[in-house]
Amino acid sequence: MSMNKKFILLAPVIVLALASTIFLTTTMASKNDQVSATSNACLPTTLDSVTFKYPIKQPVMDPILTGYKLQAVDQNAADVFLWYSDHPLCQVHGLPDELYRGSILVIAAYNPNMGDSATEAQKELNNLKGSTAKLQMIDVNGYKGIGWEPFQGADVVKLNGTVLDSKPIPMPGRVEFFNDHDKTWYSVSGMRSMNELLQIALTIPK
Amino acid sequence: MINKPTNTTKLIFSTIIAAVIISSMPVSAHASVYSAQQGVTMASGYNLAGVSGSLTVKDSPFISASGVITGHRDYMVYMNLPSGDSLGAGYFAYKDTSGVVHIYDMTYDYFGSSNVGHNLYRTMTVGQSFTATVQQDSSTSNSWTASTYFGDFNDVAYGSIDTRGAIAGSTARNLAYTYASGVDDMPGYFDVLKTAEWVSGSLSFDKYFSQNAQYKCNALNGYALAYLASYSGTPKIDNVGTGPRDYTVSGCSIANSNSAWDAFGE
Repeated sequence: MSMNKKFILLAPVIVLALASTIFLTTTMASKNDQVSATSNACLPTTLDSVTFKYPIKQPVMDPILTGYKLQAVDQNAADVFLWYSDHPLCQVHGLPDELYRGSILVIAAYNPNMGDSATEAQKELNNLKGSTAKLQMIDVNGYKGIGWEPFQGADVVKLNGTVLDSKPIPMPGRVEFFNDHDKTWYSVSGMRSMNELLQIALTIPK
Repeated sequence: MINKPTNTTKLIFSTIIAAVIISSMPVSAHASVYSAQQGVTMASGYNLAGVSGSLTVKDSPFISASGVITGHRDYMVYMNLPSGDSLGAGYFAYKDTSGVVHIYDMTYDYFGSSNVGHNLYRTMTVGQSFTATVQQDSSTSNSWTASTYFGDFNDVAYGSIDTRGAIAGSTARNLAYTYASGVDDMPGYFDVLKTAEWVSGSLSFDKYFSQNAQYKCNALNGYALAYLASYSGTPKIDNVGTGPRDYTVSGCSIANSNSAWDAFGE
């Protein structure tokens, strides 16, 4: 058998061995570099895994936004993000990017130091009084809060207080209220009118 | 005789007006997938009250687009608050129309009821290192201070609910440019990444990122988040490099990318 014929017969074996080596090396290196605590799957679509002081109350999206349902739940130590959309959300884009895609964000944050609803809402209004958004007091099933329409905001770069550049950006609308019974702050945000967001908030059980 | 509008009429009218405003707003490409970013949240009972990191201006980044906003890079540690607002501290780079890249120290803020703000202070040069922090002003305060190079700082009051942090993180990011060698990159270096809590009335930066309860990262579009070192065992996320240029191997795989924990805004 000539050298050429031997090489032709052995070539597939050599290629297979090389491929296996590369695959194993890459896989092992990748596993060593990765962080075990990292979530590598889609975000959950239910609240089953969420641990919260009180049961989180969800809005009813239909028929206000037809076809919208809870598509992703993202919890951290301070709050829970509930993403509603009319399409599946495996991994959520950032905020506000995901809202530009039509999703609605409901945030629930427990605050053991929450005072009565009216006082908290007034405090919030004072805290945010310098806002570009036009803030309005709202009532959600007896709980007080504030809200605002989507508005034209800006990405601003300043050098020692002087504007170097500015670009208009759309900012989402929001309604938020203080459920002082559960000591839970709820907000509903999206690129929707404040009235639609308020209608959604009103479906969150008292 | 003209009848006064009813509440229903007002609601319908306001909805129409809002719809017209929304439809007229430009929705452009946004940055969160053009980043090398990581975020942590801490265990229950640990009230997140600060984040710090030692940042080094590793190189002057390659930037294809000129313009202060258009092609800019943010390198920062940041805190996401429960309300969906963010505050960051680090540095900023952009290229002017002459092709010169300028680097400034920066604080960053994103207000859901206002704007995205990049506040620049002083010129920085390649090789400079500094500690950047974002921290709560007091244990019950909704005011947070971002401090960067030479002590330049920004003190910001957020909403009533923001008396603790939600997520601490580090990020290098741009608006919309995929990595291209010699054209667009994000060389960066973050070390001693820590979080803080209030202990007996004093702010204590007592945990490394690696001591997190949950972790998420994001490195897409050719960018890399290299895991370099841990100061509390594993994983090696207390010292990270961003790239390419110097760092090309990403510990954050595309499979576990999730930009939801990047600093809000842009």
